[in-house]
Amino acid sequence: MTLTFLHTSDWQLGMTRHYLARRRGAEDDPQARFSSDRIDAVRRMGELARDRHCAFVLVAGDVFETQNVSRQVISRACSAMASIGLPVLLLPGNHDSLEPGCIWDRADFVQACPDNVTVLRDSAPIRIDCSASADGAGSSGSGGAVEIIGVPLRSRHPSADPVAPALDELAERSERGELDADVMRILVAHGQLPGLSGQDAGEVVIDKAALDAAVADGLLSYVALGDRHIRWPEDPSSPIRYCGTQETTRFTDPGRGSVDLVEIDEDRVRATALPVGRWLHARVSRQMSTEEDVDALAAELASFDDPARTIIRYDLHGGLTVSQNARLESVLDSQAENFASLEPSEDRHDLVVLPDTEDLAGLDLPSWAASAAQELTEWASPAGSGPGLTSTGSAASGPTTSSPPPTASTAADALGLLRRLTDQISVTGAGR
Amino acid sequence: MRLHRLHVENFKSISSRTLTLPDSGLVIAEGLNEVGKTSMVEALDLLLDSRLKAGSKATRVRQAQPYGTDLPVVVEAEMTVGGVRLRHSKQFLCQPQARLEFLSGPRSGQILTGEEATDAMATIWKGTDDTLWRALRLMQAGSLEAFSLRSSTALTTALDRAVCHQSTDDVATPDPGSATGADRDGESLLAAVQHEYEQYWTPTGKPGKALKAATEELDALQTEYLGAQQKVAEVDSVVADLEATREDLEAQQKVVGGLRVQADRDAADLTALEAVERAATEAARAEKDARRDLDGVVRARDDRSAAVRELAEARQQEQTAGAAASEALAAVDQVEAEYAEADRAWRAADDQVRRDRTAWEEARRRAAALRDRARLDRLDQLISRLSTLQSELRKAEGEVASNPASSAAITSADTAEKTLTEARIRLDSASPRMTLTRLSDQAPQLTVDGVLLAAPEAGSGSETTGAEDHRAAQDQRIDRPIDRSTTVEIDRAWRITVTPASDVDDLARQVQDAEAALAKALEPIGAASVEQARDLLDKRRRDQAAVKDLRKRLSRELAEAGTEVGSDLGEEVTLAHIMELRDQIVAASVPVDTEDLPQSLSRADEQVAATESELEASELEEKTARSARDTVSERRGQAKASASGAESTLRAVHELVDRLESRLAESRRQISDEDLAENARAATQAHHDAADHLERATQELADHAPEEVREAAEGSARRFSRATERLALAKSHRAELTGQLRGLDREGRQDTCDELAGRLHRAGIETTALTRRAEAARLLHDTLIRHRDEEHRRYREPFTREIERLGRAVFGGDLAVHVDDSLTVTQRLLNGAWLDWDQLSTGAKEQLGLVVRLATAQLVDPADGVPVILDDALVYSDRVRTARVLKEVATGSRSNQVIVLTSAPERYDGLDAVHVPFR
Repeated sequence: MTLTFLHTSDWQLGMTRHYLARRRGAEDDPQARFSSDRIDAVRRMGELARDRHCAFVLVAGDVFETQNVSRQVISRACSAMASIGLPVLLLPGNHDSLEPGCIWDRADFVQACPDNVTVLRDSAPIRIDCSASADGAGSSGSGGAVEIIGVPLRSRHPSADPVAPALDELAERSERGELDADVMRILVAHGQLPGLSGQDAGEVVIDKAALDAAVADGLLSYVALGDRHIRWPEDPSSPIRYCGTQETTRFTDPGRGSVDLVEIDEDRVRATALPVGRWLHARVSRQMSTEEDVDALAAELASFDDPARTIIRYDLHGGLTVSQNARLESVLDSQAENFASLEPSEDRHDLVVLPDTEDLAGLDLPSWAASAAQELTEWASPAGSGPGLTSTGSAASGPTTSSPPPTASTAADALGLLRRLTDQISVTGAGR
Repeated sequence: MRLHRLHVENFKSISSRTLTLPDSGLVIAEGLNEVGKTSMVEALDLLLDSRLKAGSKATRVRQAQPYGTDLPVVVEAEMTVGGVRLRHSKQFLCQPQARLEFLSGPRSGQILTGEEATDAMATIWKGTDDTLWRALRLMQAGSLEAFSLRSSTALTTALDRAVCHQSTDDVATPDPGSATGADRDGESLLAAVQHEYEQYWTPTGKPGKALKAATEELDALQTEYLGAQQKVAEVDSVVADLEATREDLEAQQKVVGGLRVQADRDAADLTALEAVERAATEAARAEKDARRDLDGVVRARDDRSAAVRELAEARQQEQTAGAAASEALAAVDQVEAEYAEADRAWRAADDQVRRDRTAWEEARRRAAALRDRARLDRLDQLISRLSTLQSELRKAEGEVASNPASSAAITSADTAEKTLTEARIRLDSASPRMTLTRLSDQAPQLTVDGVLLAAPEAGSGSETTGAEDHRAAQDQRIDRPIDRSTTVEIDRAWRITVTPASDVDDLARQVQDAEAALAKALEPIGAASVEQARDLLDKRRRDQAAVKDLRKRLSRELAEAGTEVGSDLGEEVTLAHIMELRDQIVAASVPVDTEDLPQSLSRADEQVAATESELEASELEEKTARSARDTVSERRGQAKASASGAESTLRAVHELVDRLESRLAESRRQISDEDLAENARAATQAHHDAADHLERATQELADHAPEEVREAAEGSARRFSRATERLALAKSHRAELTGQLRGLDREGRQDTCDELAGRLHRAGIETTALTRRAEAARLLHDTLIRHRDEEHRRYREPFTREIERLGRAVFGGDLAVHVDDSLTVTQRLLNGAWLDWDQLSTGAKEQLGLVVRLATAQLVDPADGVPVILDDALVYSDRVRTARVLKEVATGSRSNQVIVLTSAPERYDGLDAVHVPFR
């Protein structure tokens, strides 16, 4: 018999991103788009599941972003899940754990929850008879029954491996001879496997060895994991896996969101990623030094096919002259409107603006203004620590105040402003 | 700007005039007053004023038109501005038109008209140094105020150059030759920067409204967002509480279950324990009963033994008491015998005493009788002496009593007599004296006042005449004062009455009164005269002394008698007392056989003493005998009492024995000694059994550890109860928290928080950008201003130098001036003191003003320069100074255009100049 189902997790419906907030005075609402797309992905998942004759859809935790999501999110989510038309098994994860007052107990959810949806509130095995379905969906062969063993999180921060008791119970059942050899058992859990990157030191992890053993002993056919937003491992035949999210949520998430189509045949697993997400989190990282670099950046930004669903964090390095920088800023300003979010990376972006003597030479300034510009240039120079001693007059008197020297970026901005104002004056002057 | 040609038509008094100027040098435009010299400059101003269109009907335009005409006002000038040669003209009022023709430069040949011409000219004019243009003209009767050249870019450029000539390092200065842009003075740039700056900052450098609003909004959002986060955190905190409560509840339920099992087990243990405790209590009660029985039996047995013992002891006592009683009786008998003997001895002694006392008393009686007799004799003698004395005394006292004289009476009589004597003397001296002298014994009878003057033998005299009269009469001579009417009868034949004067009568009356007073004084004494009275008093004194002496003697006698009779009388002894005493003694005298009486009193006393000592001896003996008898008597009493005590003790013991015997007999009748012993044995056995039983029960109870069992039962019950209470509390707490959570509107809080996060993000980006722009504006603004000020400071030095150089030619070698940052001359050094501009003389102001202009013209690059125009200047200056200044003008004009409009051309005769006459 071949069992086919969808393994997905970390929908985190109701998620908000502050950088998607509506811009002042703008019509466009990226956050609203983001929110509704995340739910639409669930509908697309349903289409895929039906197309691929899946027996059910397993959601390995974090269906909702928080326990506080609005009624609207719940109702839309329930509606989307109902549209799947197959059994949908929801595992409470850390975001939506079975803590007191949890979302699963909220009247909003209880009332809206469609019949095809089951919340895995405990580890009692849930049997799904796959052969019973009219079109034979989800499995082929005889006696196709599957036991789903959920390991729901009872609190946001479990204090021990939540899987261990379920495995113990399974082992006891095995000893008691209660396990049906014809029935596949799938464990659904939410948490971290040891050794993955980005874990906190004290974080509770799931005992991978125990899972391996359970799989090796034939107690489990598949372990559907959630919590990590990545697909892992790459090996499609691994029976213990994370499936990634339906829509990406981080700049570390590559590409767009997907769902795993899992096929189990004679205990051989084959997982295939099916794209469902529309949103892209992308970093744009470039070295800048010339006009051409600015052009190239503009071109790269223009190359994103759905900027309204693209979130860019750019980190630019190197240096541009004041005038080049002015151009860069105008490029970024014009593109910012197109993207859901286009912002510099807070920790990576370190582009500097270099004052250019040619910039200044182009200006027709009285001598004192020229010497002021010279001083600003020296402030703005990346290596400089202020006006050099070589400049005439101004260096000797220097800034007379004892206030701290301006930052290079402020000095560069001041130079940019000087340039803009002199341009304006010459434009108006020429116009007369 | 360089002016090449100026043409004016129909301008005030000028109908048509053209002024052509060389490229440099001094031009003297000379003409009479009101020929229109100043009008030429005014016309040039109308042309160059870009605001003034050709169609303008401004007052100064209309005033330019020659009065009473409607001719067009025409001004045309050919000049070089910014390196471009132009021809510009304006025709005002009549068929107004403007025209601008480019004669060189990139637009050479181009001709503009109308407003286009005016506007283009305005733009071109912006390239000239307007400040300099206005500054380098000194108009007739113009202002003599100090003026600033700071905004002259031509001057500052020139000064830059001057500065740079001094500086070997020429980095910051742009090429002066290229400085031909539209904003040579940087004013537009400054204005633009200022405008930009003011968008963000207040003039005092505080954040402006927009910047402040943005920052405040960001702060407000930040606060709001933190608040929203806090509110979400509150939800989480309630959830955490609930979670903790849930875990707590589960743990507690487990605990309660365990406690219930334990409590049940402990309760069962307690029930078992209570049964054992009841059995033990029962055994203890039985043991107590058995012991009480045993105690009773043992007590009865002990009582019996005690009774037997007591009887034996009583019998023993009885025996002892009997012996004691016999002994006591024997002792009584012996003492009785002793007593009889003692009594007899005493009686003998007592008889002897009585006899001796009788003898002693007899002796004493006889002695007393002797003594009485002697005394009586003495008393009799005394009485007789006293009687004599008393009778003498009584006689003397009678003498005293019968004599009334007293010293007081004598004194008063003396006084009266003296008064009388004095009265008589006065009377005598006052009275005429009458002397009657008997001349013969046969003289006729003469009576004086009826008194017959007696014959000399008839001594008796008349009673009625006074003693003197009497004596006189006796002397046969009467010499007497006529102190009263005196009648002398002679021989019964003559009656001669002599009557004294009336005052003699008064004196006579006084004498009479004094006589009466004397008589009255003598009357109580009973004396006729004072002499007699004095004798009576002496006698009385003698009698009194006799009485006193007698009384003393009597008293001495009585005192002696007192010793005799004894002082016990306690009062003054009188004769009566003594008499009475005598009678008493007589009455008391013991009648004694006088014959028997001893010879003497001393003999009698000896007898008394002898008998008395005998009596004393016998009395001593009697006392000894009585004492011995009394001692024995006491012993007899003791012995009798002892015997009586012994007898009564014996009686009591008898009674005790009887009582004990009957009681024992009674007791034995009730139960025999054997039965008693048997009972005791049985009771002992019963108690032994009960004690054994009790010990076993107690041990069993101890084996059950009752305290522990009870404590365990109570403890577990308490713990169970408390745990149950806690569980209920926790459940209630959970219900409370659940309710709280429901009421928190967690969805709303989350939504608010999410929304605020987005707004905060946007506001942050915007504010950061705004702040960045503001900082840039501020930095640019501050830096520019600082550099400009700095440069202006630097310009002062070369400018001052040039002014002083030129000025010294005029004012002398010691000229010094102060120039401030705005390139204004503010002070001049005069005679070592700095004078402010306003303190300078009008002429000095004018000359210094011209020097400053010329210095400026000298400094400025000829290409940047403008013509210096002096319109009938130097009106306030003296000739010497004027000449010096003009020399400088001439010198300065070699590279500049200097136009002098004057009505006194002779002033300039010595100078190298082009002379243009105006007519």
